[in-house]
Amino acid sequence: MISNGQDDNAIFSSRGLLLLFLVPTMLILLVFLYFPAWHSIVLSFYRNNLFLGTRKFIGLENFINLFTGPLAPAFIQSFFQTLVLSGLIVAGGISASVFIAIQANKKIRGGRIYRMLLIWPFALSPAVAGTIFLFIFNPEVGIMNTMLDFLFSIKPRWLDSPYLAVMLVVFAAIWKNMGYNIVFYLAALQNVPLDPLEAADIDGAGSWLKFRRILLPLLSPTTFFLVFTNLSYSFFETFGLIDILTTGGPVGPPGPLDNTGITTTIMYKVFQDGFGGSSNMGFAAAESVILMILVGLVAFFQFSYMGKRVHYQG
Amino acid sequence: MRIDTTAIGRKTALYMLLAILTILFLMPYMWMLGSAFKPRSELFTYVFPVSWKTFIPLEPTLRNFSRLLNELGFMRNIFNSLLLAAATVTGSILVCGMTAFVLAMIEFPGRRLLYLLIMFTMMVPFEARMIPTFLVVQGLGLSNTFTALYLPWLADAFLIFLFTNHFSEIPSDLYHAAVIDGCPHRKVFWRIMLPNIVPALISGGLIKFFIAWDAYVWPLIILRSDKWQVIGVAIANLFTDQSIEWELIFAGSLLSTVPIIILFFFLQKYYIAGMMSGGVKE
Repeated sequence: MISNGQDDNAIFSSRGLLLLFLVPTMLILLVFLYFPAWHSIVLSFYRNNLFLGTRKFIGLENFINLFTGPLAPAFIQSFFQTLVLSGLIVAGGISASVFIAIQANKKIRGGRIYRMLLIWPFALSPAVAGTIFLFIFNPEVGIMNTMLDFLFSIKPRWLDSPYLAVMLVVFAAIWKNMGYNIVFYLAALQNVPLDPLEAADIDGAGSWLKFRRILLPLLSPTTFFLVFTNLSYSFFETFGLIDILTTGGPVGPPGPLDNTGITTTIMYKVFQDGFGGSSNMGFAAAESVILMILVGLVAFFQFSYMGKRVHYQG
Repeated sequence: MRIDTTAIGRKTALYMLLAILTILFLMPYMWMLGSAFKPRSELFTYVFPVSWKTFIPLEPTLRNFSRLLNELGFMRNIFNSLLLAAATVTGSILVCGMTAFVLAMIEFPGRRLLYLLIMFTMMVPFEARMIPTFLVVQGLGLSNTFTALYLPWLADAFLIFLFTNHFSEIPSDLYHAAVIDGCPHRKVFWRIMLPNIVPALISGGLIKFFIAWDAYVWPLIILRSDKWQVIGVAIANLFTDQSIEWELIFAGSLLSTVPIIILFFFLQKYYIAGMMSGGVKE
């Protein structure tokens, strides 16, 4: 391949061949990423049934059906639920992580072990995390109800009552992702300068004041980054947990929330509509287009902020 | 003296708080661990009040595991998951490593655009394009095959990002010298480039291992038969029966977390470094 080893041209002549190194990545991305993303948009203009194999162009009908007509209430409800669930997961997860990370960062014996134990649920699979929660909150035999029954003689049916089911999903999702957040906060805390904190100590500032006025602002770039990654997590990656814990249910109380399961996110609805009994692929594709627009918006805000305030390594 | 006691009091409170947190994080798992070795009759007997009997089986048994492995075909599921993880890790390190090598070392027109196009894919999570990806795989005649489980995941923008960063820290003189000496690119890549970024390879490989081992959604939709089914889905399938056999579910969950725990405890430094490398830096 290389005709003359001493020739500078060797670098150039072999360069073309080197581009072959890019081929596997490009092929995989084209076939499994770019094409599907584009196809998703195309599909949203068709009525498409996976099992019957039928396909018919219907223009914007799928999108219109998202917002008016018999299919709309369920979608609008899931849209609303996605925002509420995500808000709860992001707010709850981040505030809990900040608190825990600050405690775990203090100079104590065995600090490393604490830190490791706090981080590791992140490595658990959604199936196992869901299983653990199902068992803790099992109405008949779970530890939670055994305890509540003993203390207050109540046995809430966690998965059957709508608001408790939402709480459970939110709690499980926060628990599962907390390790990720804690890693970032611990790293950020290592870089927090000690001077302002010591000055505050001399001035006699309490720990809440120190947290509110000094730590929180110093941690804000990390918080901002985590808000976006956590949003994306709660939009998409909660899928596995929801599938195992509630399969999207239960149906909400009579009223605006009784059109679909109360823990059904858009993501979960895409799955139900696309692969469930009715298999309305086109409709599901229209839903995923809406989802992609949502992610696009989130990514846009993230990048326009990151460009100003923070930079990537390397 | 007064200051000392408050300081000690504070420290004690902190230790207690951390201990409670750790227990909250760990207890569910300890419970699962103990219950996996319990016979069914003992499973719910000592749940409350919590004592050592909650966690430690009085009559430890391996029957749950033997039932899973011998009667319910978990051996096959574990084998599938291991094979999937191995294929994903080696394949993605190779595919992403080659791409990162070219992106980091070689100037060519459109390099920056290509890099951006690759990075852009990080913005569209898999779940959002699950259905069309499923249709593509089906169209290629790959549904229900092992190939479908790993092939779409070999090119990974995050790994390319990670490896490109590390490659670009290698002095380009090293690369040029090797090429001028007539060393073919294949060899430069294997012998010089890859060995120089081993920590990044471990970080990336570990992240890929966890993702592949924890796979749930994709195998669930792409596989219609049990032949290649992975452990995550197999555990979830234990729930579909009329009566849930918790002792089996615990044993299965325990089996599925063993590799994760081993790798996490020994390689957590690399895992955390990998996680962080996509993040912010002050």
